[in-house]
Amino acid sequence: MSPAPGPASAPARALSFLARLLLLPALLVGLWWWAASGEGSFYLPTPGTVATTFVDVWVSERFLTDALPSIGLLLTGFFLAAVLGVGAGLALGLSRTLRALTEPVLEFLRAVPPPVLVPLLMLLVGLDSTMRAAVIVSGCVWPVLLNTIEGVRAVDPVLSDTCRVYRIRGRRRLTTLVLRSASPQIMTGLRQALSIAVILMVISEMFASSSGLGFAIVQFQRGFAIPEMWTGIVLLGLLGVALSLVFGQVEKRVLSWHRGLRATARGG
Amino acid sequence: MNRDTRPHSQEGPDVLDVNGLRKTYGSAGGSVEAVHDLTFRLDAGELACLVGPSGCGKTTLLKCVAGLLAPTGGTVAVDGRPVHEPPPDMAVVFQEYGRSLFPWLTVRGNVELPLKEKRLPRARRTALVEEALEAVGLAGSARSHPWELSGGMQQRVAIARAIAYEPRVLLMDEPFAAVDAQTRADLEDLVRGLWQRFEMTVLFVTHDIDEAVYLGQRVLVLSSAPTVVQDDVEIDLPEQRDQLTTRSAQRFTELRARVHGQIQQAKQASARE
Amino acid sequence: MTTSPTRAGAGHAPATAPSGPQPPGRGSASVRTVSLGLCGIVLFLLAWELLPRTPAADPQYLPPASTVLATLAERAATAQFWGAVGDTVLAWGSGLAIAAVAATVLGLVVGSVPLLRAYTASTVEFLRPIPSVALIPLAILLYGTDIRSTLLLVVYAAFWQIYVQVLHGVADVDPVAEETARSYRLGRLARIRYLVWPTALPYLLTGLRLGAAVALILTITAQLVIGSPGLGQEIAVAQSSGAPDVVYALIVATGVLGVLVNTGVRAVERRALHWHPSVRGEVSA
Repeated sequence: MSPAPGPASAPARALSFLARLLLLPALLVGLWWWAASGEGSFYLPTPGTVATTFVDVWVSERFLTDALPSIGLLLTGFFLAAVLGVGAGLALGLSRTLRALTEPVLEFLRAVPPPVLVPLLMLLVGLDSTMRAAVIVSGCVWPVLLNTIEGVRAVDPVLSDTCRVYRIRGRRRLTTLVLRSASPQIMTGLRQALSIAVILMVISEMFASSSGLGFAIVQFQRGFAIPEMWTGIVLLGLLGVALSLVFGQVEKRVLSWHRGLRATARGG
Repeated sequence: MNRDTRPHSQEGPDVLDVNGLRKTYGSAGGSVEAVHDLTFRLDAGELACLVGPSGCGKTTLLKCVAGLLAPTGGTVAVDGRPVHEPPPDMAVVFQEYGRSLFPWLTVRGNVELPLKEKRLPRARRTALVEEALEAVGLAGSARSHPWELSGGMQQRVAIARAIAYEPRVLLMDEPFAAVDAQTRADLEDLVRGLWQRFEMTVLFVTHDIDEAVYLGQRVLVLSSAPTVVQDDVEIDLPEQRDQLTTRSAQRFTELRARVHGQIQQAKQASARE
Repeated sequence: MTTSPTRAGAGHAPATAPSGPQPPGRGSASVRTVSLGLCGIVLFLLAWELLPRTPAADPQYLPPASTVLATLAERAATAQFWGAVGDTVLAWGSGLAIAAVAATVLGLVVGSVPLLRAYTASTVEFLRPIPSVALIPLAILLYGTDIRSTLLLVVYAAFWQIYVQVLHGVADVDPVAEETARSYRLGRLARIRYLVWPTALPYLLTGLRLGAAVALILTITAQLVIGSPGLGQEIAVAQSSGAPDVVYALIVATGVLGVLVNTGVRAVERRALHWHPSVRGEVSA
């Protein structure tokens, strides 16, 4: 077995890849552990404690009663906002008059920080889960709406002329021309909406709820159940990372043409 | 799908009739006249080139003919029917090939899209797409995306799309202005070949005098500001043309010189204004 | 067939005719846009004013626009209101500033050292999507209702927006320009000053624009939930005392603040990029 350069370098490459992937996270966890085991670190349990507590707290019925409904609410609100935002964005983007009419009002509504909707709706109707979904929808719809409008407006005039020449109109024009051209902007809007959805989900539960992820975390904090509180933070973090990964995959599929186009445009 | 190579007839009925076309763009600071008064006709199966100095309103004219812009005055008729919107039997190849192809569709998807809108049955669509792609020499690239191809190949896709559409009239707006010289020569021969193979009337807009003379049966020379048809030159070169012999022929040089002279005159006329 | 070479009939034909369609007259179009926009605002206010007077909406839940605006005017005469606005702006501004400086410095350093970039990428990809509201309980434990609670959330949220944009910007440096700079023996600092910085600036400003909006959202969130002083906390108080008109008035105030932030940041962007040939599209990453 002579160490040929090919097979010998493959494990080396894999090793360096792993090092790049894991070295810094390992160092950070080590640092955390060291800091947590020192004196006066009441608020900071060790990663080990957090991990075991995580299993105790969340690998249980609590996941079904507290976490899953929250996630369901989040996704419901997000999807409703996406449909509403893209639909209204198409209508506004395609009509110059409608756009001019609504633009200043939309600029204002978009600028209102969405979390203020939580106390408002709570005051008006109380926050059952339908209303929490409504909070998420009304907060998330703006970035989707405004980005869709921008995307629809940016449809290439030559492509638009091409459609006219070949008499492509109605639904097919909407799906093959308008929606596809606007898809990069729509995806940008959806990504912003997703992070707003998480914020609204969590704080509506922290503010006014008797169940859910946000509620559980605040309960732990109020009861000084520090390791449990940390597991909540970790769970929210994992949720954010998971949502971002899934979204990234969807985006990669939807916008593969866009990446290719950009790459060749840059490559010359 | 037997489309005969038909004999060119100068006696055929008018397919394209442009009469007194005028286009002014209104703006707050007064109006700008892009096309002053244009009149010309194309017979069925003719290949005519429209040449003029840059900025003489060629694109505006073409857009009016295509039904993409409403003229301020005058009429455009295809097959005797006035044009108010893009007519069903007309195809256009734009100069900006990169922007006239759908980047999210494959080459096949781009060529097939107008046929879907025409509600042709699938088998017919497949046949037309394959024939068109084969005719432009892109049979092997059907599954690629436009942006994976070179500029010349992208323009071939746009041409294939136009041919598959089976138009009576094909408008080409400076289609080769943005490709390199060698590709350009290939594409010129391609256009002549396709015109001979499929039954089409072609209006080819260009600013390149050589290209106009090499391609056309007729060359219409536009003047700039005001834009009118200044000369209508019949190109009596042999039907069978090729880059080497045609371009070095004595007659080619004469015709080229005539068109060139007309354009110089047009420029001077507009400079005197 | 017209063949007359000179046709100077129409005297108003200018020497340079456009080859493509001209945009319609700018002046008249913008007048139209502005008046339509004003119409839209009036219609919106009118609907808001009239809806509570119909059976469709209960005025207790939706006070008419005039009531809300009157309440807002009343509030705006108090020092307490302006104190809250001041607290909100302070928390937003200092949080954004800290995040911007940290993200720019780190982004430039990490972005221009490939090794650092490679070794930090996984960590960044993991930390970035963590919602900053997850840090709320921690902030409460560490700082209570102090402004530092708000700052923790704001800085965390805004930092990633800006950092990622700066990284994209540094990666966007033209390799040919980079080689040119090297061939003229420009040092590392000079390369950052004359090459990396101008390339990354548009990205940084995009990050700043996104970060500014996020920072405002998190400022209000922290004040609402944690109770740090500011407009958010005022809203929470008005809510718990059951005063819808005050809640609406304060929401309008946050909206106005939001509009000011957005237009301000966009003005800065335009100003800083007046030399730039194109307004950049956002990097969706």
